[in-house]
Amino acid sequence: MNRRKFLLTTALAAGVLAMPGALARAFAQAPADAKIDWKQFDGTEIDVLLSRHPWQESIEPLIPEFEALTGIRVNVTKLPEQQFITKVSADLTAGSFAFDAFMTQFYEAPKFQKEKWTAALDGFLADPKLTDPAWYDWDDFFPGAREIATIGGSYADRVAITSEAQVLVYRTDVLEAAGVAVPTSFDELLAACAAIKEKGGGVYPITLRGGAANWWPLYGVVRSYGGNYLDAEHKPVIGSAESKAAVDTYARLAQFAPPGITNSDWDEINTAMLSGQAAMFLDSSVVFGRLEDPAISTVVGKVGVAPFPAGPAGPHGNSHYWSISMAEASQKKEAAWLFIQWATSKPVQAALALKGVLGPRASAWKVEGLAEEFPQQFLDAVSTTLSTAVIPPAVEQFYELMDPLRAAVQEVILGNETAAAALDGVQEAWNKILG
Amino acid sequence: MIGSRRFAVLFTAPLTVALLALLIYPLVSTVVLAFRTPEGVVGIANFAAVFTQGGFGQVLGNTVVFTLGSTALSLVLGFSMAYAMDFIEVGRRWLVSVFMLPLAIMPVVSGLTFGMMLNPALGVVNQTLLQLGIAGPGWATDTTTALLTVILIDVWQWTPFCFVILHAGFRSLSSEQREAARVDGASAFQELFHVSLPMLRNIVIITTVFRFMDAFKAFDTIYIVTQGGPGRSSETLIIRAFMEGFRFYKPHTMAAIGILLLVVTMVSTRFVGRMLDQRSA
Repeated sequence: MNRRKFLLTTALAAGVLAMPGALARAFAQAPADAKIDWKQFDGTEIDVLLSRHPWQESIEPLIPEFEALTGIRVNVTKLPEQQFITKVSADLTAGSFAFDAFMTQFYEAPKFQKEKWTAALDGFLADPKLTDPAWYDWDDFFPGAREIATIGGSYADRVAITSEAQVLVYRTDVLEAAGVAVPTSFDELLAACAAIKEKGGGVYPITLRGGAANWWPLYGVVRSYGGNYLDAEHKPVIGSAESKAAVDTYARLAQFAPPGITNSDWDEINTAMLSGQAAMFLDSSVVFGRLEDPAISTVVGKVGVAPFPAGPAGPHGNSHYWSISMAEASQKKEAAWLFIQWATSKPVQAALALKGVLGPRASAWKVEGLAEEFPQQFLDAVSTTLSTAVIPPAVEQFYELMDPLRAAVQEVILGNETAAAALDGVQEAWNKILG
Repeated sequence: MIGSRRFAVLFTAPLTVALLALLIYPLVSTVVLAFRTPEGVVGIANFAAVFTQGGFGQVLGNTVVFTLGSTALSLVLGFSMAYAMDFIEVGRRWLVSVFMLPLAIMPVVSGLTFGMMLNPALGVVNQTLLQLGIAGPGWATDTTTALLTVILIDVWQWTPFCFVILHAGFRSLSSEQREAARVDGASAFQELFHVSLPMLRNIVIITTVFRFMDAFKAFDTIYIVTQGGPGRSSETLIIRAFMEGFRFYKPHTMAAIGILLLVVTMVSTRFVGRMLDQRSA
């Protein structure tokens, strides 16, 4: 019996016996209590495309419950993140995208809305036949998560499904052996890396993304150094002295990472931590649930989490809300909306939280039993980080901008160029792209 | 007379329709796309944008090095293997099957496999080198070795293609002429270069053309192993075209690169076609 089953069983037993207030509320939130007819699309089949992610890992086992509730069959396709991004953009461009619902990231929102690739969700949300507003409780989403829905600028086309903050994850045993305290600033982080390299017993001090998506963790460092990618008017400011200092620090940290860092992305840095190869990790908090899962991790019980370290401008870790959208080309929008509504509802978000995937709903952070699932240290580190966290600007040319930056950061990491020279080049390229 | 014409029309119609739909229409729409943007017709502005892009010179250089390097290496290796087969009596058919194996593996799969094997931190190659006391290179993760790494993987994948065609070529040679040369006292070297090779000339040229065109548009291996990085060290024109079209949502720039690729292929195959003509003249 796993923990979740155990909790569920005890909750049921306790409920039958006493029905205390909190549990009664939990039951009132069950999907069956929503005042809509879940069975109205019985027999429909929908196709859903997911990126490989802890959210996908945790919700997939729950999908049979949705199928039993609605009679809708859900065909899930899942791909590793880079392939996922490639397939979605390639298929949408080619007009051959064949999924009803799919995971989305907010950087793409302006483009997706301009091309009308994503469907407007407001209508479904407002339709009493399809949504019970009291049960769904839109205002339960964090303000940042509600903002994500309309970040594309024209209409609401996405519902947030995760909230992730860039935090410092570390191996308690390695830090202790090396005699270093948990770093709270980038200077301390660099010093800790040097100490672990010397006394860490062959463990690499840190693992960082240096591959195609190095711009994601870098953004937190840039903001903490007082730099930015674009200013409020969406003019490039990547060539500023602050941004250069941040990239210089990032490249110096990269020297402490396992070899081959220019090919390391999300999967590789996860593997480096799960296999015990690296001691620190400066990326999304969702890794924590995986590191504490004995089925895939070799470092269970030796993992600490700290808020994002401070730079000269304070701590400003990057944050991210993955979202779920509906394809405008879908022929089964209403059935797809039932799926999206169910997947982002309070009871499902609560169940996911208990599996380690903390959601964008305030209620999911107050679930009964969550304190048993997550150490207080983790919850504190993430909420502290989220209170000062930033999100990258969403512009139509986002990925086109990130490509020269990605290449420049790799050149700096490999020592082929200085941060100053490389970022001057990026500034010039961005001026041209946005000019 | 009329009957036979109708007969001809009847039989060429399916091919004509297929060519129009699958070749002519995409080609025409690519050309149209290359000369416009969503805002309207822009003339050669898309081509100008491609040429003035940051790092375009490097991308062009990579494409030339990759195409020529991969073509030459796989051709020389494939030719040597095919020639060596001439001297093997026992187990030749078995060896031929083994040599052909890489052809049966999807480039995506071999890309992922080599990517993992060559990973400097976790891969088996550098681990083995370390056992031998050698610090392995960064392979796909270093700007100095990334292009060479993807060339070698491409050579591994496509040498069997050259081998198979050239092997068939060697098997089809008249053994009488070659034996006559040997009886007349020609060395193996003289026999190869003055008797066999001239007879194989057209087959070698055609193998080169196919291999060249294939290497020129190689995508899977590079995209899977390096995505064109680190920096732009292994980015070729076809990778750039893909990024422009499907990652940056600029199909018109992708079309402009596509036209460039098409022109280069057409010019070089025309040149080769003339070489083949000279032979028969």
